[in-house]
Amino acid sequence: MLWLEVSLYALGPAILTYLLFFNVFWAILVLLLVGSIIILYIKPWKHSLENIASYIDVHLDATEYSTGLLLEPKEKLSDIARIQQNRVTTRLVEKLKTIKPPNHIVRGSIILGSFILVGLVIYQYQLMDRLQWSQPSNVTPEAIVFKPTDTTSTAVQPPKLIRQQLTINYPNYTQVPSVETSSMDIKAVEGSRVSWKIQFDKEIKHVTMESMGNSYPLELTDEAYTGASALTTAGFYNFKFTDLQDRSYVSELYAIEVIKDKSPSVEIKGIQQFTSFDFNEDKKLSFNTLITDDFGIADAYIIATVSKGSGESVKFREEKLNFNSKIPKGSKNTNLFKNINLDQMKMEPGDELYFYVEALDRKRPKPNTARSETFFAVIKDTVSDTFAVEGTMGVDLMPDYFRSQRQLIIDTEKLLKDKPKLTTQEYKSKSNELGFDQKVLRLKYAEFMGDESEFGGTAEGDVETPDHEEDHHEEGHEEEDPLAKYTHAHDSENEHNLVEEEKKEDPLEEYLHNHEDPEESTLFTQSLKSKLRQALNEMWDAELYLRLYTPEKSLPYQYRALKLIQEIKNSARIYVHRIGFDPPPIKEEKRLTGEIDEVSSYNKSADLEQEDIYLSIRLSVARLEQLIVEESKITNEDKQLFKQAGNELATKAIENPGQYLETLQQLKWISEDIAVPYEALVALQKSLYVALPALQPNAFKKKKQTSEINEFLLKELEIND
Amino acid sequence: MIENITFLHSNWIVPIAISAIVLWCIFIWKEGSDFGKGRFWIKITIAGIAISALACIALQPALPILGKKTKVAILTTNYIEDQLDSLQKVHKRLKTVEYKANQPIFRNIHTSDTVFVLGEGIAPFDFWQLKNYEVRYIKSDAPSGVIKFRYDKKRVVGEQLYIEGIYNNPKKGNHLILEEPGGNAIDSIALLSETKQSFRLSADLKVIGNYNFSLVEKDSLGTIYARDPIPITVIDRTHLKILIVNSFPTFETKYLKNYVAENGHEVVVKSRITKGRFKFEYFNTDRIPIGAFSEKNLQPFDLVILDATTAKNLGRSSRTALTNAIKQHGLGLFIQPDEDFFRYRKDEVAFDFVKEKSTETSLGTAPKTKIAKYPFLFKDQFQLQVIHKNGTSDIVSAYKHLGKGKVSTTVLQSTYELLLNGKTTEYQQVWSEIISAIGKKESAAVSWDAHNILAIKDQSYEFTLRTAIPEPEVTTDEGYRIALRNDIDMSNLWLGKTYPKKLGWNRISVAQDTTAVLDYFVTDTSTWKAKSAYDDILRNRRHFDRASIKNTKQFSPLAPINPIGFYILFLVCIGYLWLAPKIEKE
Repeated sequence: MLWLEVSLYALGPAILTYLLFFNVFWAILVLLLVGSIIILYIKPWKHSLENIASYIDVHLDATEYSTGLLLEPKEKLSDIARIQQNRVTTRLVEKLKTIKPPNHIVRGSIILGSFILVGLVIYQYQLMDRLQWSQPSNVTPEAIVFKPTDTTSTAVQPPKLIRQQLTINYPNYTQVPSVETSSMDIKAVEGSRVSWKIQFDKEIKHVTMESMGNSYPLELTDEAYTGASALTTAGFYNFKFTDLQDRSYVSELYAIEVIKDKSPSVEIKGIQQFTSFDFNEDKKLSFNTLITDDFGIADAYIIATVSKGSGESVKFREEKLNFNSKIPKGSKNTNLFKNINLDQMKMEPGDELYFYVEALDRKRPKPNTARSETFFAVIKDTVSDTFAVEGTMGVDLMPDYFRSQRQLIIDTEKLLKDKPKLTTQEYKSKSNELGFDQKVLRLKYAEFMGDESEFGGTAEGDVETPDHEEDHHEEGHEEEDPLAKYTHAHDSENEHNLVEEEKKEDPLEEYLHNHEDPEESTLFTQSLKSKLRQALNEMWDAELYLRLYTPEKSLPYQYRALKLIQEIKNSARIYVHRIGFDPPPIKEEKRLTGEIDEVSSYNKSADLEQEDIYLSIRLSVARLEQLIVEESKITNEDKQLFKQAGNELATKAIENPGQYLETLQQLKWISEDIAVPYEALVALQKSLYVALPALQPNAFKKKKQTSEINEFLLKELEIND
Repeated sequence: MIENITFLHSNWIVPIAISAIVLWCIFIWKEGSDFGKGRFWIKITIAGIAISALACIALQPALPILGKKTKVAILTTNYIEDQLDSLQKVHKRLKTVEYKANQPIFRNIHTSDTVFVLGEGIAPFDFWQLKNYEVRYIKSDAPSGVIKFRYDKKRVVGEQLYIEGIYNNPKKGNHLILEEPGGNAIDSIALLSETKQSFRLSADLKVIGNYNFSLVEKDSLGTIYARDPIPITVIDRTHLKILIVNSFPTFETKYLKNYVAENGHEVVVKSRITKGRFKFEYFNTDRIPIGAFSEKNLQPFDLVILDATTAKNLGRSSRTALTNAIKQHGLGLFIQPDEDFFRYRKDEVAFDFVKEKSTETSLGTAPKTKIAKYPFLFKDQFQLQVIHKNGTSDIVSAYKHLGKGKVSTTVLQSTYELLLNGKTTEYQQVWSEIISAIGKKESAAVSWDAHNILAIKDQSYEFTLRTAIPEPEVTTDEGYRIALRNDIDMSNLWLGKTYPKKLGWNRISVAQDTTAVLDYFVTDTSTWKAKSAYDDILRNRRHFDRASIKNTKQFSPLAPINPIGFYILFLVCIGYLWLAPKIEKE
């Protein structure tokens, strides 16, 4: 009996489940589940004889609470007990039919019945379907909804869309399989190829795909219209088709979202940005590089640059190093290890190593590259002399004057090396040119000696006369002030004026140092001066041999000159800085006395007013307000306006497609002659208003009402002021 | 009692009285034979009574219907029961009347005594019904909701809409939300449990036209309690024509001219390059020669900006021309200060400055932005109108009226640095405020002034019109002409009243100037309930408090005394006179 009750309890929910979901599996599951719970609760196996006896005791007075005696063996009982047992037995036989075992079959059947009833009611009225309807169903595929643009003729059945398919072919390198979907919103990697296929149940005239103001016709192949395009930029598109009755239909707008293939990210770990080694240390660098990319790494390497020397003599050597392990091509992230032994890089004390890691991804045709930060490694120099610039100098003028001699030597050596390749003519001309450069250099140094800076004025210049012809074609160079590069031009002009004038008036002239006189020049100490003179002489000889087209003979002189200059450089740098010109104050009466004939008044006209880029949107919002309040009809002009507003919004929407897609959609429909309900107008106005940026503050002309009384008041105020 | 009797046909009194006396005299003469006897006196007395009864029938005497002691309480919406109970305790015979707007208040109740008005009061258009009564108004509590609000219903695009108001008896947890047209929430305030809460909401005005913002009250679950319209007319900006004269080019001017020119103003810049040589720049305008100032060449400009040096070195005729243009034509003048400017003698500058140390300040509107300034501040004095105050409420830019025009300056220095620091909006804010404040004002031919922001359908909407047009003709949308009443003192002030029939935006226009229109928004009584109730309370209080001062003379309705009594009296008297001789004979 109890088992029956349990099964009744369990059957009710099971049948209800079946009626709700029409699924036998779920029904059986519920049956077993509920059944087992009820069984655990009721525990039908637990009904022992003792339980039954006590039940009978309670419910049957005639037994006098002695039913339990029947369970005891007769032998164990006392006499009185036996008598009692007998009595009970006889009475039980009489009355047993009056008592029924406890059960709730009726209750169970009522519950079962009510479950079935509820199930039937739900089944009958399909309450479940309605319940599900109220929840957003995300299972239904997004079909393209076409709306007829002409609202008048709705009698004819419009062609129906029976198939829509969007295929996105990702670029090969991404190794992402192509996707086929019926959802028309596109989100794909740049360079993907997209193709559409849509099929109608009837024959139609043509289908076009409209995107960002352009339209592309789709081709008819195998009864379906197909088209394809490569993704380059984000945007929107929609379909439009014309049926045989020349009615056109537009679909919703779909977003094209282009995901850019990201550049790989490179991270170097396990090393300081700046590492320095002593000479006797074990000069080894080791580091890990973590490279990640969204579609796989193609290659990665280390670009190391070794710099030798310093200042003018610095030399760079670039090397491309590979990692210790091979790069797994196409893996999305990889950890690479590298050891660099600075000794193997042929680095010496004072040399510096700069390196960074460069990684390429698999993008075609041009891979994205990324590079890490630059790391430094230095082998400390054992000797170092640092050059300190004088504190008063605002500009760090590392003297470049002495560079040319080294360059001349390099060029001369190069010329000698190239001699076999060159024609005699070229060789001679180059040699002569070098001679000229040597002369220019010499003249520059001569200035420090107090020699004339102007060409031709120097003693050496006179010697050049035999070569005058050759010099001639380089007059352009000669006319330039060789110091122009090293001085402030505007200073020097003024300098001439002032210095000259002062000289005329100055009675103390003879007590001053005369810088014009090379012999009295105190620019350099005596030893320096002689050294410089020596160098000049060497240069002179070098020039001579260059001019004689024998550069090989000139080289020793050049080397000697270089050596001397190097010596001077080290001791005399400071003086070079100090030659800087310190302009005296300009005299007051000279100020503002310049000629202004050349200066003339001038006029300039311009229209700077900036166009409002959201003009149509603003007008649309105003027009929509009218349409909403007055409930009037949309005119053709309105449609034009909304179209323009759509274009304006589209430019804004590209940056943020999700936000404005719906608005664009509504604008499109309004401008395409589709009847729009009142709520849609409100929604459109709302979203357009939100899309509009606030105007920047601008002044405006206020209006006022003038009246005699106001004027009288002002007059009175003025009088009594 | 007797003095209350009036005769309905009182104009007949004289002829009837004469004929009655004549009749009585005839009767006396007829009875003359019995003169001196006792029955003679009895007869003429009875005849006199009969004749008077007859006269009364003709004259129809009437009595005031109600006694003085009946008081009436008019119950209007939201009256307080306790108040009525207390009234009834004092005045036992108090009668109550339910008030319905625009219907006769005393349908069949008549009183000559005090009328009590309880609750939110009666509508102003029903005041006339209580004109002859002594009315005591017992107000109810102000209703819960927005009872007061204020905003400019006509703003220029780009400005902000500020709506300020008082919410009476707010419910905690509710929110007041300002919604843009279309229903996008832009500003909100949480209501607290106070007795009164003032609020201020703001919105950017981005589009020209007539719009409806709305003030929505929602609870925390988003249930909308009330949605009230905030109609606003947004008008376009009118551009100014600005002349800038500098004695040498400055960055300040360079950025300023770019800013104003890019925003569409017509700008002419004349800056001296060197002695006698000038650079003229014309933005958004045609070339016009600018030499020395004359009233003629200053005429088209709305604002002149001079640097301190130029202002100081103006020639005598230029100065006079400039001053006249300011005084008579309302030209604005802004002087770009320099260090020396603040040290000029007072009669040259017209502004008083106080020296102070700080050379940096911030504006009250943008407290976090630092702006360089000269180490001076304005001294607050009579006639000084403030444009900007800094964070510590000192005046940093100000103007003064000079005739119709204005002269202005600032202590701010190198404001273009704001632009360079990326604080574009603050820069634009500073200058747009200065320029708007002092630029020449356009004198409107017609200006409207409405008494109420909102009009209610089928109720009166009053407006005033200020115009120089001699006899303005104002018509409604439907083409009906509205009669105007001219103000007795001011010839250019007109008052009008209309009864809008259409909900939404309505427009009234002047026939002589079709551009001069007044757009007003018409709602029904379902919006701004708390405010209209509160307004009614105030209006009733004002009206009835004032009315109680004058001694109201009361006219009670009269009812004719039933003439049947007179008939019977007449019949009895005549009967006696007829019977008496016969009895005597027997």
